[in-house]
Amino acid sequence: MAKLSLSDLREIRSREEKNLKKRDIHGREIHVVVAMGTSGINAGAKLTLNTIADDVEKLGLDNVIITQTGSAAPNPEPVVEVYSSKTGLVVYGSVDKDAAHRIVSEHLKEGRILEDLRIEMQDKEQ
Amino acid sequence: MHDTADLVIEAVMNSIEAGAGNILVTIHIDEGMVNTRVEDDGLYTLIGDPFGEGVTTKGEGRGHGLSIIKERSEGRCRLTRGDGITVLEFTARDDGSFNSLSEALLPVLSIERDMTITIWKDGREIEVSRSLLEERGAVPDRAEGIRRYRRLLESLEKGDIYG
Amino acid sequence: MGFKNYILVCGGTGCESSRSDQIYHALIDEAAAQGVAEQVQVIKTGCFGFCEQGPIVKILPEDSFYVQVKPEDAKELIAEHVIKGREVTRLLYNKVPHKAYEEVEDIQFYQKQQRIVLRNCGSIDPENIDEYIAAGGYKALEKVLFDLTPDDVINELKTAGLRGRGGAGFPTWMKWNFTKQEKDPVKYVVCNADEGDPGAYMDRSTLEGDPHAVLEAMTICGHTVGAHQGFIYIRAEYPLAIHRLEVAMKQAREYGLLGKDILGSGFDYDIEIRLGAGAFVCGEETALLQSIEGHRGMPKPRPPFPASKGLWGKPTVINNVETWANIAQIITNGGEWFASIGTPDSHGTKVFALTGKICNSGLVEVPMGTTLREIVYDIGGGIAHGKKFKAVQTGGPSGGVITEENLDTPIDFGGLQRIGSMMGSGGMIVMDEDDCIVDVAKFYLNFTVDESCGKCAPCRIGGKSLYNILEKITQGKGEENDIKQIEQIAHAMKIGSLCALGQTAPNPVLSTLHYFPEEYKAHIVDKKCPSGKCKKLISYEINPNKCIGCTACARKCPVGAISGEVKKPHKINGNVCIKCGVCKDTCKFSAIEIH
Repeated sequence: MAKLSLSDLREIRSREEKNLKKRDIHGREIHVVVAMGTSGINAGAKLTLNTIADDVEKLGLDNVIITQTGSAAPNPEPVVEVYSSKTGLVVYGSVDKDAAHRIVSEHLKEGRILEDLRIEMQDKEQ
Repeated sequence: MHDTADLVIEAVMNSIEAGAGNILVTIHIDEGMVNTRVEDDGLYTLIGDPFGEGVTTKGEGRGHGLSIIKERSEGRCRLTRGDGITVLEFTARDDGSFNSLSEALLPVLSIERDMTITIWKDGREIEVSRSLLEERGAVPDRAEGIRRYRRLLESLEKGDIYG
Repeated sequence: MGFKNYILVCGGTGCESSRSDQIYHALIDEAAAQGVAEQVQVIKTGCFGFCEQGPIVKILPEDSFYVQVKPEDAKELIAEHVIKGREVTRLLYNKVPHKAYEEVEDIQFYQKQQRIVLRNCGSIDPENIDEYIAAGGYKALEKVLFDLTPDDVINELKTAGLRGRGGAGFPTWMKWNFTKQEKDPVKYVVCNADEGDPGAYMDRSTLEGDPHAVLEAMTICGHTVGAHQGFIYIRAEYPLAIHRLEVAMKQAREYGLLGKDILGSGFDYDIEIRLGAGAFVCGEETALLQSIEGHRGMPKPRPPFPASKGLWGKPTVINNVETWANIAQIITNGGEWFASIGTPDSHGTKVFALTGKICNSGLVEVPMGTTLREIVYDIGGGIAHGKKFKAVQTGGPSGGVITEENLDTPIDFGGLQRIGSMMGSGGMIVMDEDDCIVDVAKFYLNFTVDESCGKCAPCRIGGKSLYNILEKITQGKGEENDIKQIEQIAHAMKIGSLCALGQTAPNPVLSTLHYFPEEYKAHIVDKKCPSGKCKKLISYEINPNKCIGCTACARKCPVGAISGEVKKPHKINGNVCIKCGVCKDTCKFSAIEIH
């Protein structure tokens, strides 16, 4: 190993930082899953998804990852699932625009579960 | 209630559930109508009328989606297959749901799948693909990606940058 | 190329002695054997702090916190967690699957903690300098070498209000400034890693878990005060800490972070390790310097202070490990950040080694001002086996006990002094109703008598005399006059001893006497030991109403003191009984009583 200059040290730091972060941040991520099946879309899931994406971007919630899944019927759609290691899996039903705003600002940002929107997930219809 | 942009989502979901690895979407918006064509390399087993209520080509789930496309397009739809490529076409009313392209396309472009969407709108051709988003760090599934995605689509719409 | 899982294995001395080293190798071997070597990175880290539950293995990204892991568990961890993505529930803390419980930070043990000194312990590989650098390491040194003047550094420490963590709490900036102002061209920097209090292992864990933090801080100090040589004085009985330091120093030299022309700044600095033989008095700074010079470790009168005349008569900055571990953080985050943590009188955090009759023993770092109650009950989980809390001993052999009535005292330098104890280096031993307070005082006094260097009479003779009185009391030969005599000797030791060892040696006796006068009285007047600890003052007897004559105790008694027929109450022969208590532990019917 050669003796480092200041810029060498900084290079090592930025390179290694990424590796260390990979270890660290993953476990703290929050997953948001929007059910985008036919019944979800019919109930307005596109608006729900866009509202969540908008707010996550506005609040700069870097640890949130948004994905989608198929139908959540027979549950009251649009259905949004939030999974974080802190709160475990929480399912919300009938998530309209207002509810989507609240999920982002209260659950994703503050880690507070919105009990009034929470539903018990029913099995998917066959 | 599905708007016209939702029908595109249904169509793409239909392709994905057929196991498509590559999806090409072409959308023409002109004279109050939206003409959509979705091509994919998925596997289908067609039995009877694919647009029939509750009919499914893949065993579970999506038949309902195609029947909605039929209903909303007032029957102006067809599904054809040849050389391993399936083509779904339909024409529906322009209800303004494509006014914001970024909102209309976010649900499909956030899906991890090779996909190219070409849109003709206001006399301009716009092409956006999943690989372009990945290249630009603009996959709309995280805060930073969403910000870049919106900026990218806005500038594409204005014609500031190409591809 | 990314890994799917990161497996962090605690490599602190506590967990290593419970075979964490074997676990580490078993995990690597299993990952290879099951074909997933490419997918996992196994990292040996410093102490996680939750020693009660060790050995600890944490798997990321799921943040699964596995406790009391054995090398045999490696196979299952790889097969289930890494390959199938299923947590091994039986090994999880609380045995609750991850989804249902919270992040590691939410485990109660970690909740009230704030980690500055221990920030890297348990999260980076201490034998890999790149990981320290990645975690923001050597940023402070960059700043000091290229952006700040030595006065800026001193001012930052002054704003921070950092006080020495070794016990006395002297402002660190003043120590550095004294040495900086000296004109001598040769100056030294010393790290006191001679941790000697019974039950204390804060410094050892810091060095084991984050050795570069100390090296970086000592280099910063060297540049600030104008020294080019540092020494780390560490006891030879800390082999793992020494090894980690040696590895760290080697890597720092290879990177040019120690040695000539550091980072091209023109500044030369290096560090050497000096091993101590584990004499308690060598933790006293003047004795420590004597020992580094190769002399017998005996204290010298102060002044002159080491800051002006220290090692080989040269100006010397000497701080303990925990103090050093705060420096780089203060330089990186600013003095105001540090000053915002803690109480007005004491800034920052303090690391404690929580041991004794506590549910969660381990290494704890809390903001100054946290109450003892929070540490004992919220972090420590209360007293083990449902027993009653009696007292906490802080400050080691120089400190005192803290009782129930003072549990809500915020812990800072002033707060502990006001209730007759002291911060000390951070040993914290919890006692329950089974502990005899006179016996505890005797234990500490025995320790200081043993460790006294013998140079001055008050400490050498006073300590021994005090010990003899306590011995007498615990044997049931106490006299009314004893208490008065204890107070007189203690006073003489306090004013007459040369160094802090002798001056503070009576503290455990005085403090226990102050808070538990009735317990001393019970020993002296009633010839009884209320907690049943002092063997000369107790007798074991069998309650004939409870004894069913199962003969279990008679078979276990090592001296054959118990006799009786089967199915009939047994008896203990007091003349033969050695009061070992085995019969009491054996009896399932609570028939054996202490009188």
